[in-house]
Amino acid sequence: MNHPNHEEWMAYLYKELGRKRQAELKEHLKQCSQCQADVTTWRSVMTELDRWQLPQQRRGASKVRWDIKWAARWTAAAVLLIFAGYAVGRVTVASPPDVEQLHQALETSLKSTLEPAIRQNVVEDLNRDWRLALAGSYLRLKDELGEQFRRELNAYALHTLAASNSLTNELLTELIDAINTAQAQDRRWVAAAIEQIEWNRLRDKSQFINGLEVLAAETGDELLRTRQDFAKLLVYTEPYSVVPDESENVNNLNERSEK
Amino acid sequence: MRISVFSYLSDLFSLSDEQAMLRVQKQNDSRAFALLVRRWQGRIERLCARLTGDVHRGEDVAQEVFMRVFAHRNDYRGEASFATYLRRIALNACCDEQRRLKRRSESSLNHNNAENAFDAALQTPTLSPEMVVAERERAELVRKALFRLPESYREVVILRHYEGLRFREIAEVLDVPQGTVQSRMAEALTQLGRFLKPILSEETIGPKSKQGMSEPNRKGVL
Repeated sequence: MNHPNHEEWMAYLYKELGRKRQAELKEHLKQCSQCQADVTTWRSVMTELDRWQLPQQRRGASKVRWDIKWAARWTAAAVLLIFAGYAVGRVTVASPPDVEQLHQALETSLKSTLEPAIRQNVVEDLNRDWRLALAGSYLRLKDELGEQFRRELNAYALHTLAASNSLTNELLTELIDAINTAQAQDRRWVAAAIEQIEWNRLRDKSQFINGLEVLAAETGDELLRTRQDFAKLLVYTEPYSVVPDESENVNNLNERSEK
Repeated sequence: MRISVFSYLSDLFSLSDEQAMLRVQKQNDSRAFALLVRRWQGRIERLCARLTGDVHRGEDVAQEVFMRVFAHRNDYRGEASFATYLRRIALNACCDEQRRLKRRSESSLNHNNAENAFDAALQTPTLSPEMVVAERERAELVRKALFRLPESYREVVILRHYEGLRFREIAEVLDVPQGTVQSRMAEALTQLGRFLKPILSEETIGPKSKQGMSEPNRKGVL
């Protein structure tokens, strides 16, 4: 036998199949004990599932309708009662009908039954609307505040950045100036030192030249005196000998002084 | 003034969900958003209560869902219907909530105790389960059994069985093929049948004792 699959049985159990297919599966179920066992279990589980009921909701549209329905029923009952009372009174007591009293009784009964329910509904509705509007505006306000905060932060950051930039520039210029001044001063000092050194050199040179000149002059004088002394000496020691040259004279003189 | 407000309101009430969402996106229209919330709050709260397994937590998560929708209002591109989009967000929010809860309860013993109590209640051998378990406790067992399913199965069961979405719509919300949704549903019902075997009707109890004994081991593997 060709069994329908589980997916199809689900559609069958929740009546989502077409009428024809639904009938086919029902027919199959009568003949097939295997499918029957499955479907029976599923059906009993579905029945069990129905046991978990949620408590009646405190608010919502169904509740409002329910209230109104009951209010209407009570009103109807009250009106019936009043009419019954009126009829009985009419039959038992032959007094003229008190329209004013009837009107008042109707009004109070209507008031007492309908009014609290309606008022409560209106209050509940208003409360809910109000809360939601509040939640909405809270979220909107949060967005707006966040946006504003970001904007201000950006502006402030820009401002601070610009200020710090200009300050940095100023400081840099000052630094450059200071460096320039220091360099110029250094240069001046170096120039002065070089000048001094040059001046010293010139002075030393002139002193040296002077010294040399004095030395030369003194040496010249000394030579002259020595020559004169030699001449004198020659005259004193050997007046007879012929002097061939000055060096021989000197040699002889040396030998003699050694003896 | 009165007439303009009236016309504005009547205009607002004739809007479709998608048009209202467009207004929220384009004009930050808080009234249109309030309209959407009024239309959907009940359903989303119920869905979240089922998905988290707790009515109060469901309400909190539903609030969170609408907050998300408003905060990310420009993410809605209109490719899916608003209903599908909203349910997707609700599923995600509940998934996050469950994960948060799991992290918190992993350290505490409370969770394990609850699980053990569940197993004990299912496997009390002396009394028949129908006698032990009163109607409300049975409902509690059903809820706990649902929470033993893998999340992807539980979502399908809740959307189909409790929320009454058609399989095609569920496929759209979960963004998977319809066949996958239906096979997940079948597998979920089968697993639930196994978890709840002790409290199901009499005729299926036959091979119970054997199955019931193997149950904790299987869970241990999971």
